[in-house]
Amino acid sequence: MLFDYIIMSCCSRFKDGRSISAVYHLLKGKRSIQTVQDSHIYQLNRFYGIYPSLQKRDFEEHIHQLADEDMLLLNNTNAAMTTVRGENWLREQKKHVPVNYFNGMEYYQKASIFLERLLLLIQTMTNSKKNNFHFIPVVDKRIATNWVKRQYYQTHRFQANFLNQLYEELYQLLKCFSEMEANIFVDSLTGYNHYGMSSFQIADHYEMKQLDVPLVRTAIVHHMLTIISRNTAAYPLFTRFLQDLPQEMRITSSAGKTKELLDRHYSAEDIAIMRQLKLNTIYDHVVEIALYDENFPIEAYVTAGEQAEIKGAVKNISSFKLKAIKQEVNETISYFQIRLVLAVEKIS
Amino acid sequence: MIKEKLNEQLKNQFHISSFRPGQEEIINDIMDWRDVLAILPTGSGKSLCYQLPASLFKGATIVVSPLISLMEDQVKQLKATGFKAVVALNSFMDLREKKRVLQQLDQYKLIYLSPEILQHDDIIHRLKQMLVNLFVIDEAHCISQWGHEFRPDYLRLGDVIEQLDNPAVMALSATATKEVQNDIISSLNRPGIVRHIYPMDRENITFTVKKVNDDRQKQEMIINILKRYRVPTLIYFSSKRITEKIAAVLSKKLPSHRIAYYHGGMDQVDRISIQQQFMNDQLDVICCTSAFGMGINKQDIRLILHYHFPLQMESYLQETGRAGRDGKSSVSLLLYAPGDETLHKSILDNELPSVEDVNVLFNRLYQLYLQNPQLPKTDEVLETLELSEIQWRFLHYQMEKHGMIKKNRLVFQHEEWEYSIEKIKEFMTERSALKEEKLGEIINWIHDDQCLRESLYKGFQTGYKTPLHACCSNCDFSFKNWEPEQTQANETNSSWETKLGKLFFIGDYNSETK
Repeated sequence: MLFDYIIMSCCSRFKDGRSISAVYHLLKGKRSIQTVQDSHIYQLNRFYGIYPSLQKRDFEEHIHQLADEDMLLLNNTNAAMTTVRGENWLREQKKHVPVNYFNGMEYYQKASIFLERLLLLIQTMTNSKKNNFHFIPVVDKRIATNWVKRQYYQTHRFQANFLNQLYEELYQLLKCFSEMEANIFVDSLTGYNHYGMSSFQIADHYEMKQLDVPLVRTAIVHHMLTIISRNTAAYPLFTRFLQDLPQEMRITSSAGKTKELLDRHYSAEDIAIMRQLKLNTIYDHVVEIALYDENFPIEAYVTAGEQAEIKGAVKNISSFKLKAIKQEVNETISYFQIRLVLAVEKIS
Repeated sequence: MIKEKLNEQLKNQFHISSFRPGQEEIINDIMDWRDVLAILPTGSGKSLCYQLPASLFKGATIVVSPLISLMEDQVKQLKATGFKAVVALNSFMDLREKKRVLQQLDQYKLIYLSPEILQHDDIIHRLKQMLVNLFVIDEAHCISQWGHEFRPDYLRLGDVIEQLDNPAVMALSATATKEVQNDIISSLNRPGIVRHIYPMDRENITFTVKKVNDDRQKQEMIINILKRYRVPTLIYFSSKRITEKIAAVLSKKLPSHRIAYYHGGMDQVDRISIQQQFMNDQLDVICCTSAFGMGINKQDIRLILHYHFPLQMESYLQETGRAGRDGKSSVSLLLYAPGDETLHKSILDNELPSVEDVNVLFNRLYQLYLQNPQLPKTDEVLETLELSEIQWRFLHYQMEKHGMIKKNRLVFQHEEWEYSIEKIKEFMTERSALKEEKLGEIINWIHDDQCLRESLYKGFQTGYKTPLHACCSNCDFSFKNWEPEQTQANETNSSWETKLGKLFFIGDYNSETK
């Protein structure tokens, strides 16, 4: 249900402007400039990277199912448009799905690290309280284990307090959720002589589709992170956990190198030669930089007149399809310039 | 002197008070630098036979293991007992992680790895710089079972041992017929190996076969049995999809039972949760593929059901051997419906490319050669040849063996190709016939109307112990007379607040202060 709702929402924004693979890449959080730019200009930031474990097969199956149910219309360019029926369904379901919880662009990497650390921390602390050091950890990724080890050594002298504080903050946090959400979260937790439920078991127990389970978990964690960062005083422990999370990567390292050279006033053409890369690759970097840089000097690439012309074209044809925009504007304006304007304006 | 040392280490490191039959003899031979082939029944503590020497040796012990999940489980279990100098290396590790482990490799006492990764130059190079005292092949029947087809690197272990300056060798298995034992020894090139063969029959397991008409009856039968018996149960399937499907059916029909499924396609967190829930008695029934079980050490599994029968007797023995490690009466029930063979035949057919297609395949390979002798990426090869990965691995190894592929480049010589293709075809026919024969054996066993226990163990050993309980469904077994201890239900549906409090011992705290 939740998964279908999210697919439908994406298709509803993309219309025929993007193919269904764009939806797939968006949910998987592909680190390509196209995908990042898509999520900005179609205002789908909240769904970026929320389903990294999604399988292509499951995704396609659902697309076709939705098409069979007359919710989506697939066209020959492999884009999927929502039907009237689909739009009505989206409106009806809006109240029942926690889509507002998602904040993908902010948390797409942080969420899973936060959750894995929390799961392992609870397992470790509850077991060590009972003096059991022979348990099989539920998570064995180093980014989680090393951090939990550090927490353990820093806090084991006042272990009881730490465990209580953890309980109190978690309790307070879960109160902000619906009964079912809180139950799902607690059922996933592992403690002393008790292992949490797997996705299959959660799905079975709460009569959900299995594909929705990771999404619900992610939604809960995103909402938790939002609540914590807004009320740092109420959640001192969790705030500390939050500060330990790695920063979301803004631009790719290759684009970072290009930015350094741009800042030293080399032109895109120079940089292509210096780095032995194609000019189009450097253009991709420039668009990527423009997406994140508030003070990007767009005038260096597109004149004010050209910008106005591109913006006007977008308005006229009410589409973000590059090809359609290109046909609408003076032929001296390049695809690169159009993408740059879309990136800077983040218009919709 | 050495005996005392061994016993001391057994207590201090492994928290075990005494050896089980076979362990001490095997360990003594290894400590005296003799090579050992050990066939010990499941649940008799095979891994201790190398873990204990490994903890005493100055250098490293290498353990070749067939499954990543099995390696990871073993490493986790060892770490949980306090033996921390262990690591698992596999081909799926990311590069940075691999580099880090390789750098510190000499700090580990026990190194688990796959036969495939032992073909990597960097690994061999690193191992050669270190002192390797013991080279273990766990589940050594895989050499014979898989080595000839899709895991050819199993056949290259002999070379690896030589390169590592001939450490002591230990080949371990729970089920290996005489032929398989000989195959292992000749492939490792260890004719002087000392054999420790222990009878593998399990006197507390009752073997039963039930023939039904179709899948629906299988399900009804399972539901009826589980309604009567709430005991730790495994149900084996041949397909991941059907495993999931039947698990869902059973959950619906048996709301009082806690049922889950397990197969190799699940992610690691889910696999560990299910295993550990089962170990902790949070689950009653696991529907699973053959991926579940190796390395699982639950003492009180009472019932092993086979929804699909395994492809060979060896697998059947391994899977049923997981029952009743505590020595109490346990039952294995194999369900058979006419037509079950077809599923198995198609599994077997898909393991190798078909002989009829071989000429077409080599024609396409020749076309590839004309374009570029360098083989393209595996994905592309699979697409061009319309083969599965397993089938291509088989063909690739055969072509390497016949000099048709060298360093991932096709080498074409007209006459030699013709000759080699005929040889490969012959080999394929031979392998298929062997597997058909193995399948035939188990089908015959299912239809046997004599004592099932007797015919089950016939191929593996002479004679067997008198069963402690009922023998088999052809002799004297009836579910009416089977009364194992039942699991007590204690599931209550509580609120998340209560569950969270329980997890954090909040109630305990209150009662402590009272």
